[in-house]
Amino acid sequence: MSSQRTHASGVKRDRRGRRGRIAAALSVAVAVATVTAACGSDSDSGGGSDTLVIAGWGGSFTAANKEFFYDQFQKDTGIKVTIATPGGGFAAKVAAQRAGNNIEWDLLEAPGGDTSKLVLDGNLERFPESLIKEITPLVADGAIRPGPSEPYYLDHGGTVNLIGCNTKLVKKCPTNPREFWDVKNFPGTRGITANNPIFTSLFALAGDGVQPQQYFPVDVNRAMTALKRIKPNVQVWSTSPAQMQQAVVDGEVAIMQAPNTVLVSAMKQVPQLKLHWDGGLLFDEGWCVTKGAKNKEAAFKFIKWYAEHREAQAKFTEKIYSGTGGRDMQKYLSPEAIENLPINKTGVTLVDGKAGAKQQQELGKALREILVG
Amino acid sequence: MLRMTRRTRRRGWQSTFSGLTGLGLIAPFLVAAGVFIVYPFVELLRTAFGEPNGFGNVGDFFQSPAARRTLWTTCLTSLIVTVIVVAAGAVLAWSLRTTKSRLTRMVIALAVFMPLWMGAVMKIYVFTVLLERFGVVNRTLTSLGVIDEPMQLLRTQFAVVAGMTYQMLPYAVLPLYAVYVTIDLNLIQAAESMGASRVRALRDVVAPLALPGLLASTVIVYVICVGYYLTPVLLGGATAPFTASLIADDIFNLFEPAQAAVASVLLLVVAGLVILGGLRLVGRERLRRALG
Amino acid sequence: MTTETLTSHAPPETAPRAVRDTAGRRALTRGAKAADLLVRALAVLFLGVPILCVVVLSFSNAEVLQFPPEEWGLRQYRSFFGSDTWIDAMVLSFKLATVSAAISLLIGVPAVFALHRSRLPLKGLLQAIGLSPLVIPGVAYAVALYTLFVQFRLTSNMAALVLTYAVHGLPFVLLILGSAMARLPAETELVAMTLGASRPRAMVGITLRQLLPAIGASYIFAFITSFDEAVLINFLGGPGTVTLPKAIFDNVKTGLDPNITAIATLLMAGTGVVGSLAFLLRRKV
Repeated sequence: MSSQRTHASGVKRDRRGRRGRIAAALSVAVAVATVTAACGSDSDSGGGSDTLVIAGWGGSFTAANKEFFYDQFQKDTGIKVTIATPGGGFAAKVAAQRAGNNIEWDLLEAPGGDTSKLVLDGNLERFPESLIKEITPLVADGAIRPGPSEPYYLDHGGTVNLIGCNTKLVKKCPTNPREFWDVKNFPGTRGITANNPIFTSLFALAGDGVQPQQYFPVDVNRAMTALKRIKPNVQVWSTSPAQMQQAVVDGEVAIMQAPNTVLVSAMKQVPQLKLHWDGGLLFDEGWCVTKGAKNKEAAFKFIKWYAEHREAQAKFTEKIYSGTGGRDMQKYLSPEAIENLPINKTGVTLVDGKAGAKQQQELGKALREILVG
Repeated sequence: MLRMTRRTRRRGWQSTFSGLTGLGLIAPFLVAAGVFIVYPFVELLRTAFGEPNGFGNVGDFFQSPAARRTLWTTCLTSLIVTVIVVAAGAVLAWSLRTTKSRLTRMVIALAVFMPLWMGAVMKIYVFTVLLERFGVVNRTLTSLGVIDEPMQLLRTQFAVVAGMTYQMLPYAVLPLYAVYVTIDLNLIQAAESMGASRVRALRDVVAPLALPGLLASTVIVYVICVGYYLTPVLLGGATAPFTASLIADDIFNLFEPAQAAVASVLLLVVAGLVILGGLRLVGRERLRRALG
Repeated sequence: MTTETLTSHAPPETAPRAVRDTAGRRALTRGAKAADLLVRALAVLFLGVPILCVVVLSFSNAEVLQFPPEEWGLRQYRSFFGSDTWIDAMVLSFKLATVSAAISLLIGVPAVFALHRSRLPLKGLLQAIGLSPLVIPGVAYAVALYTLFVQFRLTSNMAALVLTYAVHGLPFVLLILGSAMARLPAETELVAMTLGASRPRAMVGITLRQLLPAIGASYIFAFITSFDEAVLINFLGGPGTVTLPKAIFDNVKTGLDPNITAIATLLMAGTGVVGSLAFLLRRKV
């Protein structure tokens, strides 16, 4: 629904403004062409058959992807990798690019909560049968997502939002969302990750006693009431990983719900930090190829290359504790790393991204009212 | 002399170009400004008052308590920052103007200029290092015994005000200094020699001369503050964002470009009103000069 | 502090009313002086401490930002110069700023002539439009431009970004060059013409020459504005347009890499030199 509105505002036009727009378009074209000529053609990104444009988050996640995948891929295949860092808003930006019929990005680097939105909007390229056949033995069961009938992305970059607890600051740690919400029996300042309304709402539902099977469709009222109840005890509503990490390291929050990537990274400075996987929410995301991408062949080639390099995947995971889609990854990872990964953990739910994406707008607005209002 | 003027006139020589030549000279500017300033704003208005509800979009905006509160936070915080910036800027610029000590002058000049060169994002980020729980400020205060427990400074409005003040202060000092340069320092001496105290001399002699400049700076600083985006995102808490954060959220996460456009237009209206007020109070020329 | 130079210049207390100066009033003056000193000290402290912090932190060898550093060294500088991402971003920002500031001049210089030396109508309005990027709320401008960029598919177009930055730098040309030109008497050109110079020659030889320092200053201000632009790029950026401020912002949002302290220190040193140059040029006008 909402995406249609996005499209419409870019496409549907009334007639009155057309002449003005043509004049404007001409001016833009002339101006841009002049400068392009003046600058030389080094501004040309994408296009040729031997390039691959990847859109990512920037920062440590993209840096790790570059270190373990992109650089080596470029060396192995001669395909030049260009990285863009929109840093979020992938679904809206891809929708805008498609509406403007100018798809800039070929491959999306695990676009988080936007992954399912992209699927719903029909903005992703379906994996070709040949690719699926080739990679199936190399990737974990269910890694090609969201399901066998809809092969749109390959599991990568998955993180788990789970409960962490600083035993230096509190004696009794909540071990699941219900206890997290029980501020009387488990005192301590809290931090909640609030950069994805779906995850925050699901965590609130779990805290209110809802079973994972009943998460969707989200009972918005119930989730928001639960959040309102705990708000006085929440010191930090983090909107970026760095923010939460700092709050944990500084001891600003004693009990927090945060991505395992953040918590493991914080453990280096706060060894007393304990993780509790029960009620953990696993992100449903992965490598996506944009619908109509200029270099989609290169993008699929990359996905195949990625599946074939499980050692590189293991190194990636050990560096930033993000999951990968490879089969039997425990054989490649060190036992210490597995300890802090969602491997062999009970109580972790893979979030139904599609169901979440349907309510993203509604939940986003409601959460804003709770946080700011 | 007389002959020259006559000859000048006869040949059509004037100290100004004709309107047509002027048009030729300004043509590239017209194209650039038309495409990159005027047209985007026309489109912004069309988006704001277009789908889904036309002018009702504004009503939709004001229906959300969060959006209302955020707009209020934005305006109020900007006001606080502006007052601090202009007041501190006035003192610093005055020191820069009156001091005869080279050292003082250099220290102040460095303090004013260096932040301009640090890099926009770093300038904000350094405040996380300063204000975090075990950051420089809290450590200093605890070791001095001023406070027992580290204070919560980061992710508060205080942090936002500090960060914004840090960025805006140089922009206030420079134009105010330019205003002060035009004030004859002998006037103060004269006033004092007539028995006025220093305070009185400043109040009765300097203030009236500097006031228009101060007002103009106030307008400019406020207008820039209202549109701040990065500082509140990096230093502020999620519970008291700036309208700018909501705008980005509307576009990229809630898929509501119209609401983003409405919020942008409202910011423009606030800025416009402040500028109009400034124009009435101090006049166009002074306001322009306050830009730098 | 011996900053209160004015007092030393004040005439001795010979004036009749000064003799009658009461103790109360003197206390008031002293109080005001102390308050003034305090404000100054605080302001300088406030401006200076963050700078010192960044510089000190840049010489820390730690992997995380912490103050005071536990181990000193050049680790941050080494990893900055060893990282393609940072270097690429820096080079891109440099190129972008160089070209866009030049275009600001190409557009702005003739425009200033037209605005100050012609009988063009609506000059005030045009001037106001040209200055608006400086005074409209940043995020509103970003959203407006975003609409344009999406509509005309410009998000990965380097040329469009260059032009946007050029327009963003225009206000400085209009202001700095404009005020310099306003101070130049137009008649000098005429004098040259009566002495036989053609108008173009008079313009280049007399006016433009005198304006050179102001043109240089405008260029530098426009350059710094582009080089340091961090808001628009968040809305308009695409592949291949990860500028230095954008790279730093991404970094600050997703992880805490102390490399950025080294970058900031280098920036201060670098732009410090360029900036002082601009200041000197501006004062020469």
